[in-house]
Amino acid sequence: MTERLRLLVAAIAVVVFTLFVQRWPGGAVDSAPILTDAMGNPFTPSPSGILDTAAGLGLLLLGAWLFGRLAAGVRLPKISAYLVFGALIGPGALDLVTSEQLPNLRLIDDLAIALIALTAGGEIEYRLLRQQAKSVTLVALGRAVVVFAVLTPTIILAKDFFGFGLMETVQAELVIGLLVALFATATSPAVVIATLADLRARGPMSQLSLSVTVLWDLVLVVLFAVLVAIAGPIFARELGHASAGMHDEGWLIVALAKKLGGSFALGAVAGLGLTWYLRRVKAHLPIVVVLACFAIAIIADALHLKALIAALVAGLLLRNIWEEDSEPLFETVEELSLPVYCVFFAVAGARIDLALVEHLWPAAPCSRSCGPRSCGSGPARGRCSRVSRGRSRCGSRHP
Amino acid sequence: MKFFLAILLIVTIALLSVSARFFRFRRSRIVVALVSGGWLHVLVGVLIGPEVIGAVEEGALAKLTPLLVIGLGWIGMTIGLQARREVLRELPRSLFACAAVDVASSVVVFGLLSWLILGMWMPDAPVAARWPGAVLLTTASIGWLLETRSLRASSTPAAARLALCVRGSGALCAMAAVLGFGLLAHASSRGPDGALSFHWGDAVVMASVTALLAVMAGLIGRFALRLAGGDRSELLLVFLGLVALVAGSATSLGYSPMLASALAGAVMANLAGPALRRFERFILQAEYVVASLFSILAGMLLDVHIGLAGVGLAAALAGARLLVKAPVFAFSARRQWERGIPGPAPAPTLPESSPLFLAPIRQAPLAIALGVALVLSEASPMARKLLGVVVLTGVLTSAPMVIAAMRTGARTGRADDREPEPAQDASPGAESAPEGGADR
Repeated sequence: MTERLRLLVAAIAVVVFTLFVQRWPGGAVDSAPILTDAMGNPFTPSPSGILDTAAGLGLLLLGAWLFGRLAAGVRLPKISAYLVFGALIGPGALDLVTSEQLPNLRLIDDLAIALIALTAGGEIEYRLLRQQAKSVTLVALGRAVVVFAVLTPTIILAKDFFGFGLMETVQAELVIGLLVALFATATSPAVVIATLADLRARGPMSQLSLSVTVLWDLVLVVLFAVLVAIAGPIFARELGHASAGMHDEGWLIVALAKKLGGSFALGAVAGLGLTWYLRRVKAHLPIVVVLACFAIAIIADALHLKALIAALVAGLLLRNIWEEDSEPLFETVEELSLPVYCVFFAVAGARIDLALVEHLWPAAPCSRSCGPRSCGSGPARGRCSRVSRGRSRCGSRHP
Repeated sequence: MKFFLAILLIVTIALLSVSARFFRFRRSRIVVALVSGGWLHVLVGVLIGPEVIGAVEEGALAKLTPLLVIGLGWIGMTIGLQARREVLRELPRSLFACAAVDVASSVVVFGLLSWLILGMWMPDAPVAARWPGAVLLTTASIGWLLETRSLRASSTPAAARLALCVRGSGALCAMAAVLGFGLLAHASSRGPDGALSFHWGDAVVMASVTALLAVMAGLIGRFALRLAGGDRSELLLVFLGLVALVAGSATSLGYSPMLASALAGAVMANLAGPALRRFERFILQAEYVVASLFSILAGMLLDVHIGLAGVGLAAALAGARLLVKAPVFAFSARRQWERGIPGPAPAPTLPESSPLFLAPIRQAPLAIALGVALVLSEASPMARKLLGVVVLTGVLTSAPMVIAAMRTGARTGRADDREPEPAQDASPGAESAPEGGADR
């Protein structure tokens, strides 16, 4: 038996294993009746969603990994394989990872975002960045101009297809067109980092693509905030709420400064903390890395900051200021990256609403925002789930 | 938010407790005796749990279920991986005999005692409702804490050999406890009306399905391990993936995650070949941290309001351990001594008295994992109270050992630290518990 066939058999075995478990009668109950224990105390049994999450995680880990190796064997990218595997076993297809389990995997999502951003920061060398500053700016701006120039008019012209043909003003249509184009310019640092890791690519080209992605992600935060601030009053007028969405000009600047400045500060503190640990203790690094990534995600969430930017800054500082101390940390991050990528992209795949993808397939080239690439980070993060939720409410309005 | 903070808090405490400073602090025999069972971690869990400070609320606790399942799977698989055919074949029969005597005496003495006291504690409960509790208390009493350093007054060959006997037979007892609990506790299950009753047929089906799952997972694991080779990143993925898949699947079916993982580990141990060695080394590195984490989670789960009846039950179990365990172990060790307890030849004379004979009094930390498994299978107030009873029994049985450690001297010497290690294979890292780290 060839290695590829073995891989295929193993991947199928993992899926069959889970299918067998899922189809076997018994187990946890979906409804939660009130039961009584031997002492007569009432209690509610744990719902099946939470009890099944561990099995779902195992399936995502092993299955995505095997599928990725299979894809690599036929010279296909591993990340696409993780996504396809997730989509196959997700609620839209085989339903082996159910919609009840997905929210319980949020923990992994948060960890993954921070870990990937930490890796991205660690990959950017200030010296090279300074040398490439001109190229980075040109590539980022050039790409953005092309995408905006092509996509905004296309979206406006195809407004009936996308379901916003009922907008009364041109401004509203323009704002929607700009927003979609803005989403389309987003390139997830997670995807770039995972692709670079997959290809083991190192050099000026990979540095350039990573720098462009990271830089554009920062610009995207600002542009998104500006566009939302402009869109608020326009949509409010469309909906007949004249006062809604009106803010003074200072609000936008303060909010942006707080978001970006706070994220930078959080990243700097995290970098300092990690350096102190690496110098003084330097033990149990895998757990410390996981803990640090959780901490960044939690604090950023609590303070309404961007975990991605904070972790990115931490990685940048560690790589460029405390390089010698941080080497073991980045080695550990690399060790942890494979399981994180597998789960992260497989979960992103599982979240894809296949019915919606089928429906919007003709528009796929110009609506990347529905694709998984933008699920991971930036303002577009989690958009897929929102789109799918929206569909259930208003799916009939689409042509 | 609070849930994430809770996780942060737990992991921070687990990390602090495994730091170098804490290890230095543990050079003292008394401290080793105090913390070996993982009771301090459990205490921290109780403090930050919903019962005391409330840093982790009930709702957040439910979300920790996947972590608990993976933790139980980790422990189960580490135990199962010790069951390599060639290692078991090489172990002296005397160790099996010591373990068998302990299992038999525990089932008779502690089974009866638990059954009687549970009957008094919950007089109106049907037999099937008392069954899981009785199985827990009985299997939790099998075996003992594997830590021996705090009890070694001298570093003679005889003491070293006796310590190996304690640890070797204790490890075999741990396997028996996981097997016993996994097979018997689920014999009583809830029917469609929600009432507990015996379903022996279902139990047989459960055992068969668990074995089938384990074989399937073992075969997948064998292939995955070969594929991963020496890559640490892939080894981590394979281990996490396997543990989550097997333990999670067993939990989904309402079966024992620890038993399924232990059987899968045993299948892998006998099939995987050279890749397994790397895998084992990899797992052992994280053993102590996982054990600490698990103990803290267990502390948060347990119900401290066990009442006088619960305290009485714990005291009775601890008293019975004091009266039964040490004499039974001493008897079987003396009988088996000449048959070849592992150690340097020629066999030294068995000491007439040694604090090591008291080692079996201490409850194994695996008991905590068994208690958590019961809570996981049925998150009822009674299951949490029983977990509380198990933990209290462990604390009570550790107390005499602290006194013994104080009598044998406050600090461990360098000679003790260099004493021959037990056969790696015979001491289950799996004993979940922090004592593995203490001895290492």
